[in-house]
Amino acid sequence: MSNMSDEEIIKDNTAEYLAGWKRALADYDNLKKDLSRERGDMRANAIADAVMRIIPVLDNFDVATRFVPEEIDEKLRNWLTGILFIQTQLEEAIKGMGAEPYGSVGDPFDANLHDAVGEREDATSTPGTILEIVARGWKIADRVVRPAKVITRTQ
Amino acid sequence: MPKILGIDLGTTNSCMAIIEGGQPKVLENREGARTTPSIVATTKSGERLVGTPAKRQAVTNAEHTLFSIKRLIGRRFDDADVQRDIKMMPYKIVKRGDGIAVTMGEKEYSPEEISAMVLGKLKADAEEKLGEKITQAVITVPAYFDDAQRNATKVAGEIAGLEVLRIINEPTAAALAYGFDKKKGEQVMVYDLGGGTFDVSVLDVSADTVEVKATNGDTHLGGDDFDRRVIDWIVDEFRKAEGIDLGKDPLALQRIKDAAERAKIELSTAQTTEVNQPFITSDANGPKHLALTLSRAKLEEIVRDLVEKTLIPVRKALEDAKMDKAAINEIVMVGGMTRMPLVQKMVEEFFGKKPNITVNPDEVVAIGAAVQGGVLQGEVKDVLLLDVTPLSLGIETMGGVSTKLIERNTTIPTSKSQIFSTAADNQNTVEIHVLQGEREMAGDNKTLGRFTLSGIPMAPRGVPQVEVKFDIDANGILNVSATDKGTGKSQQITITASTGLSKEEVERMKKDAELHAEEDKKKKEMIEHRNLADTMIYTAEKMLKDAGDKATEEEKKEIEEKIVALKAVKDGDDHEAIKKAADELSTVAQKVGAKMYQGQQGTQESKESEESKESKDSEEPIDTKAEEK
Repeated sequence: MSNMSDEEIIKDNTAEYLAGWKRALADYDNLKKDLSRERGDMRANAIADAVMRIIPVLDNFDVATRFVPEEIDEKLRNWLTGILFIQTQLEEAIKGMGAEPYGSVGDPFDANLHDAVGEREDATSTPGTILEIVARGWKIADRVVRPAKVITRTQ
Repeated sequence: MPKILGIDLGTTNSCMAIIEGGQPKVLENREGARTTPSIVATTKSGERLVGTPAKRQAVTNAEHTLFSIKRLIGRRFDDADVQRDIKMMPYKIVKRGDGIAVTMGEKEYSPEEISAMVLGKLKADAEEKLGEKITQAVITVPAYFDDAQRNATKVAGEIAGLEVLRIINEPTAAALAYGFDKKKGEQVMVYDLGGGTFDVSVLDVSADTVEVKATNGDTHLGGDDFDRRVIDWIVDEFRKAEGIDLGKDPLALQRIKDAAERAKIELSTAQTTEVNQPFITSDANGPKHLALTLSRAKLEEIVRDLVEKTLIPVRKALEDAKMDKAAINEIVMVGGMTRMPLVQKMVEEFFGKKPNITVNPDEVVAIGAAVQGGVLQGEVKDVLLLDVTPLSLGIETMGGVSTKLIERNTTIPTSKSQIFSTAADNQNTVEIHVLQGEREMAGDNKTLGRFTLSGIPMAPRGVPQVEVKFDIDANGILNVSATDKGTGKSQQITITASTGLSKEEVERMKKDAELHAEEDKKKKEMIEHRNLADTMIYTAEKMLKDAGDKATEEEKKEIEEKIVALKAVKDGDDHEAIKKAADELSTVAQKVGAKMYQGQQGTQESKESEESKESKDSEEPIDTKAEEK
């Protein structure tokens, strides 16, 4: 350092400042990009959060329909039809937010889409296929919001 | 500069963080989660899964799904803990040399290789997120890990393609995340209640070293035990009410498990929660519903002994460190379970001081690892320190209100400009009164300087546009300029002492502002109402003059009456009355105004609407300046 001339020191400093300034500009530019990406993510997350809160209600509707008594009279049947319309309405509401249900019996199990909650023997299907959908899966575009809860055939 | 990944390689979950712009930041994995299950599996088809997907298929593939590998890493086969785990784990643990191996998909792996798979996933996800290669990492381990366990963890990192710059203790990392390393000679207790394990450590933090004085814990106590208590309670309550044992129904149990965890989490913020699972089961009488209310008090009753149990290792650790609990300066909470108010309360009662929980307890260890990485890299030191303005800066506007241009805590250098206008017709000078402080009224803030811009052409109030620009350079020197957009005339002032306040002064002014916030707001609102009233009167009077025969005498009279009424109350203190009178005037004036425009319909229509739109646009940002000289 001692044998550097004033001019050299200034040049040295200038180069350092220029580099620092460029870095700061680049950082700022990157921050802007990050922010716009994060804003997009935030929006997607907010929608996913809202969908997540509604899914359990739809799950319960699904469960409820499984428990519909075999023999009910006309009056009750009509009332039930109305209630089921509400289910459809709710489902349409979250579909309107971009969410789509998935998962059906006979699909091969895929850990990226399905959450195995149990397994059992079955003579007619191939091992590893889904025997029962305990709760449907939901995704928005390619993003799994809630994996389908399934029971598979023992492998 | 390549980034160093800070990794909390946990027993149940792992978490990663980096330093970005001098600040630690947790990275989400590819699935979008901030933590990743430390689980690895090989499926029947030979596919390898790591993290969430591995967890999801565990039920169907228990023998080939490896979890809690951290309990095995770096241990000898004849270790008592390993022998116990062999009985508990669904996967096979075999002897290899003195050490151990686990089997997965017909192949044997060392625990290091399995941990490497988790680390490898974290590395890959971080690279994808950041768009750059990651080659270096800081990994945390429990304070009680011996050399063999630390070494094995390091090897796991290397297998994953990471140069492990440092293995640091989890409690040390937690302390680093809170920045205790900067303080001198503090005794810190780290209370880490995770999903399945409980660790407590006593640290001696000095200027540049962190020494672990004692550790203790319970390797099989954690959040899972709390969940189980809640599940048992729900099953019990249902049995009492309905006589049906849901414990034998795996599907119902699955739903109860989810509901129990949710209820536990909700009760950290709420006082009561509903456990609502309709159609949980059915009997001969039809479907049965699970509908319970769980209060925080009840939850605390059923888990209290678990929390009490954590205090035993706390006492032992203090004994081993030969310290009295009063000697502990700081308590750091780690692990999701420490969010439970009862845990915080009992720890606070034990130590007689509040524990630290401001950094997310699930992430605090990874954040500390990233901070350590930043220190190693020198990034934390390297950052160019940017100053901030300690107090807001602004000017005085109509009614003695302080209008802020630069908010406090704005990073400097910075500049900001805003357009202002005149408060009276034909006003040809404006005074710029530069202010510093948080109070709403100019008189309560500190005057930094004043100057006058003169030579503004004659015009009705609100028409001239005066641009006021504040510019603070990197040295904190404030430059304020005012430019009349119409004539280009400009005046300015330079204030060098804009940040020349002492620390005490800044604190006092901030406190002052907080103290008077409510009162100031009322005062400001009052003045805003009054200003609005003035504007209303001015506009209405002008309208009367311009209306000519477009308004009937009756209408004019009505407007005049309302103007008189508003004038009578506008200088009083009853802002409701001012608002009411102003609203009434506005209503009648609008009626006449609409009529006047209707009268102009026809050829002039497009021009008129264009003009009115313009004036509206420019009116909105314009604030009116009080000074009339």
